[in-house]
Amino acid sequence: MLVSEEVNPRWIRLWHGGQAALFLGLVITGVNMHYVNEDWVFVPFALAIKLHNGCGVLSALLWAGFVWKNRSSGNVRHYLPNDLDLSSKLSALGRYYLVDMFRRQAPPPPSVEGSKFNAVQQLVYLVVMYVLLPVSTLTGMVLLFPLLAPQRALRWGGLWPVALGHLGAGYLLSMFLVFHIYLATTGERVSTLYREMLTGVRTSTVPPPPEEDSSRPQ
Amino acid sequence: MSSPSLVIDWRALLPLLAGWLLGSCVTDVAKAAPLDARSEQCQECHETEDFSVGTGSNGERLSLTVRTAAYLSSVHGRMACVDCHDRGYERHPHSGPRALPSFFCVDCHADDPRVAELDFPERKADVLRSVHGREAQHPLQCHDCHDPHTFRLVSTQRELRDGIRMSNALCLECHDPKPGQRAFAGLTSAVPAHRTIPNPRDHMRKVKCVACHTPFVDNRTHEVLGSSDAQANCTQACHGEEAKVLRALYVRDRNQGERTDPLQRDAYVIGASRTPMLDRLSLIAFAMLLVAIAVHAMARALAAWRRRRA
Repeated sequence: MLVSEEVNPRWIRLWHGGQAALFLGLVITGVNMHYVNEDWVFVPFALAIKLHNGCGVLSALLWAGFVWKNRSSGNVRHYLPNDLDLSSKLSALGRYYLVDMFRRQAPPPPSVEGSKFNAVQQLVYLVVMYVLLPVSTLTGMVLLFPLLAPQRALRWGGLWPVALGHLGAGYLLSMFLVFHIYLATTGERVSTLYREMLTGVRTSTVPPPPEEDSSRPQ
Repeated sequence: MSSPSLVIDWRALLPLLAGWLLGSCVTDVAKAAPLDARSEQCQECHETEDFSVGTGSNGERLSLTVRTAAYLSSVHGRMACVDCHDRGYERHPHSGPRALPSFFCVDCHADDPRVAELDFPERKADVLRSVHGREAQHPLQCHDCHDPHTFRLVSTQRELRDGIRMSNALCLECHDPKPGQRAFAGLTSAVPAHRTIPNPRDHMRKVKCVACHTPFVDNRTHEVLGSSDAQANCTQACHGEEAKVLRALYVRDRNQGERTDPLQRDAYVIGASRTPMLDRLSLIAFAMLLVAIAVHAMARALAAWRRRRA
């Protein structure tokens, strides 16, 4: 029997779509700016700077909106692990992705009862949304207004640590993006999880309830 | 046993503070001392703020104010006024010329070994080739930008930022007049002219105007180019690995007296300041991630194929 439930309300789908588009724009323009002299760079530098700045500001606003709505709607509970004993959960998930998945066995249950995310997703999404994105946004703001940076940091120019922080966060976020896009193909079918995020609805097959036995004495 | 604690009696520091204050005053007196008696007479009038005379019918005025402190800290601070203003300034009103005489630095420093490094003959040639030197109405000379009464070498500034501010102030005095200050007719105003650049004001604070408005040749910082000839290729000039302009202008480490690459230490410039090790590590990490994904995806595809056959 097919059962449908809404797992992603409209605001999450809108935020996710906007964040994905801006994220992609930031990665493409950021790579074009950093590797400006390479032959494969295709966005002109001046245009890349403007697009990167625009996407960065919009992404910061979107992130602030997400944090507010995530808290006010209670959706933040999906991100918070109920305990810090992650080793057994992580090893179970590792076994699932490396062995059980190929045998069509069911994934381990969610980390928290009623949560949408497993332990790995919780950990990764928590770090991405509440550590890497803020670091990337704040360092990006300083790079946008470079006079905010201290004049010197130890023996270096003050913008260096800011730029390295931005670059490091950018690299990690880009790797997350690639990994995230791939893992989204590991649903029941390749398109299942993508459809879930687009429609907000999860459809799953559950066994029919046992028929009532009419011969049983009342 | 209680540990000894450091107690500072601030009263004990008072003699030190007094000594420092006295020292500051003595230093100021010492700085003021070199002004000779004759020059002090000149300064009785020329120290006055906003002291100026009209130079013609077009309303332009020539400032006659010379601030003593600025003069004494300038490269010419040890000279007496009459060393340069030698004729027609003995009595009031002065009979000397009202307009500034035509002269270049090289006129006084032709064979001066102290400034041989600055190569004044070549600087004069640069100015005459520049957009300023080719100006038909009023071709600029050295003193139009470098007031000999306040001139200090940009290269003597310890901090790069101070040197940039000092260098750009010469250009912005005419090209970015302050509110209430009269712009010269026909001059391009710097901020609107640079609107296409992100953060034009910040660029003006962090980059020397001559970085883009001179040719790509080391030390030809006086051959100023107009807007149509200036460097408009961001990546070739500064935001690329080559960064020709940056390297031509900012390579000298003033403290060490040797040439170093400031892009590796002082300034972070997008596109030019790269950390090869970090770039390599990130590319290796990306490659490993893609290989892992490819292997996993192939294993999934193989498992699905086997299931279909079974």
